[in-house]
Amino acid sequence: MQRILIATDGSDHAKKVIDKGLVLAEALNAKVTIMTVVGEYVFSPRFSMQITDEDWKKINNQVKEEAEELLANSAKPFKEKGVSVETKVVMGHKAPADAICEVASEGNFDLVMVGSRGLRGVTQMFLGSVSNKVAHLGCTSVMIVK
Amino acid sequence: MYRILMAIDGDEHSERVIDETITMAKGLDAEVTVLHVTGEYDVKNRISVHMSDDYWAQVKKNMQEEAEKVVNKAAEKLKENDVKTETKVLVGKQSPADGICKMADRGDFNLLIIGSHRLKGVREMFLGSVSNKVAHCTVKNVLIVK
Repeated sequence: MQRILIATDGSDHAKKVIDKGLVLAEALNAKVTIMTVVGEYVFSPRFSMQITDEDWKKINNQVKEEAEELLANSAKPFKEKGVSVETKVVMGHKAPADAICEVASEGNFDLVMVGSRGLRGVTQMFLGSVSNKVAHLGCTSVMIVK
Repeated sequence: MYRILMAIDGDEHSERVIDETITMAKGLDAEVTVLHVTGEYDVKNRISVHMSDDYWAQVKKNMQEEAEKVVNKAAEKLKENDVKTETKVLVGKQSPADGICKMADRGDFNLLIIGSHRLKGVREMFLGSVSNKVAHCTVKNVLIVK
């Protein structure tokens, strides 16, 4: 049984990765995990106003809920087609590529699927920095969806 | 028909690329083109002596034959697994990455599969890896097999 890890950032391009992932998962009879990485909001010197711990918690919860909603929506088409699918939100200070690789290695995935560009499309003209880094880290086989 | 271009360099790692391609091709009911790119630059860069035209022609012929051996061996394994397979050899002035991208983007392929050697540190900085270059230069989806 093949295990595929699909990384999404909710961008339009990431939808292509989800579509492609669904085709592949069906074809290979694979188990899928869809993941996203979001930064945890902590006290930042940029904020000069005072924010209580409680407010930070609230902000983080909201961010997490949004991420979970994104993943739930992404997982829908898989469920409709009867593909086994799980979702995973990673919160933290890690670079997305590092987090993706960590999940891939720990979960013994056979394949990671990433988009060639996401939300930061303009900064990296030809290949997104995240997909580039995931390919470089070489934690597992990587499919870069263009 | 789903079409896969599999680029190999004929070393041990190619076996893993072939295995992964068989899995993909069977799942997706795909046709595979096996590609090996070898360059004249490889020889010219290394040999500073003058070569006669005849000798050069012989060198090129040998390279062509070696390249054909690589693709035919891979094709045999794919065919044994009932995968519809074609072979293609490029002996030219281009670098392997450029040759692979040109082939991939010219043809009607849905997916490009390539192995990764994962050069580390300084070597990667100076040489770059073929898979990395390919990931950047092609417009097709790329699977980099670890």
